[in-house]
Amino acid sequence: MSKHLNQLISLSKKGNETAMLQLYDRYGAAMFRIANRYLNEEDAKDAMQEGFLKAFKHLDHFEPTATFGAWLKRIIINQCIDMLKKRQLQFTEMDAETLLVLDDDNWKVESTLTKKEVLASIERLPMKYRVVVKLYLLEGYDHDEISHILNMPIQTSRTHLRRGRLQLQDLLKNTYNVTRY
Amino acid sequence: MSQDIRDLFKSDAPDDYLGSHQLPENHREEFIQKLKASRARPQRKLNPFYLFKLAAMLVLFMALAFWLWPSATPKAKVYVAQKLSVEAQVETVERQYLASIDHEWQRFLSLAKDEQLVERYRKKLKDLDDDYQSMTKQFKANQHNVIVIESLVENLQTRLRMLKEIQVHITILNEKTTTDEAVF
Repeated sequence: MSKHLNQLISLSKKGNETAMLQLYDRYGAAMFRIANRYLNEEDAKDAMQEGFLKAFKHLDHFEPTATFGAWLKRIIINQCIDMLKKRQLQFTEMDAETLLVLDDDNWKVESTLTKKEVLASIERLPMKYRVVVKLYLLEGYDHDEISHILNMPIQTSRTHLRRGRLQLQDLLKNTYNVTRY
Repeated sequence: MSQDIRDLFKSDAPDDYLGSHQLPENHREEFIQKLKASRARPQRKLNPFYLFKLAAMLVLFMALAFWLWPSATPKAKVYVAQKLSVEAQVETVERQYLASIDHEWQRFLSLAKDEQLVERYRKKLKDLDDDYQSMTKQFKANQHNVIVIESLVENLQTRLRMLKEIQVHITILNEKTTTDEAVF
């Protein structure tokens, strides 16, 4: 981390609002874009700002082993998920079909598909699957992290991801008329 | 031919897909409000001015208490002396603060290169001073009102704090290096 960033963090820990604002200026736009992956613009802005306030409140918990950006990103994403939960989105809903997932980790799709097309299809997934798929694909979190963020058992996270993946592959197949492998 | 979806998301820049979301123009002001509200009782270092204020308030309180109990101050002479002392105390506090404010203002002028910023602060200070003048009139009309005295001191403190904060801000900006940490 740069010396200047360290200085800002340390001043913010002491309650210096000017330094906090500097951190906000530096990371706000990027965090806003991340929040937009989960929420509309208005909610994304609120979640981002609330996330910053939480981060400043708990700055003592920040360990320099992680980058500040990654730490902040995790808080912002948690904030987004909280907001989704307030909308009564149920992530932990289980049904009879909850099964021990076989390791069919097949993410193959037609090679002509672009990232943009895949993203458009992700947006069409049911919300509970969409969030898990995004946390996995876009943010790069593993099941352990996803289950913490969504406060659900790892098994549920795996099941959601599996269903999300299958639906995504079907959507891509139907929309772009290509075969799933 | 097939590809792994995960590979699509590995190498690319993180935000090239959802369009360019722009924060609304007033987001910063809104955040400042939220920040202030969330820190309604900020922990500040005990600075000398705070101690000075405490001491001054204590003296004022004692002076007023003495003055308001006529039985304790039977002689008119003491009465007048106490009255003078209230005004004198406020004046001392005022003089101290104004000197500090002037000192910080000069420092700010030497630091700030932005004319608009200077103008903005000049105006802020003027507004605060206008408030101060009207409160002074209230104080002169009724010197018993502790709330007015507190407001006077608070006004002076606000000016001083404002000037100090903007200077910290400018100093940090000037020191800013170009090596920014990547978010991802």
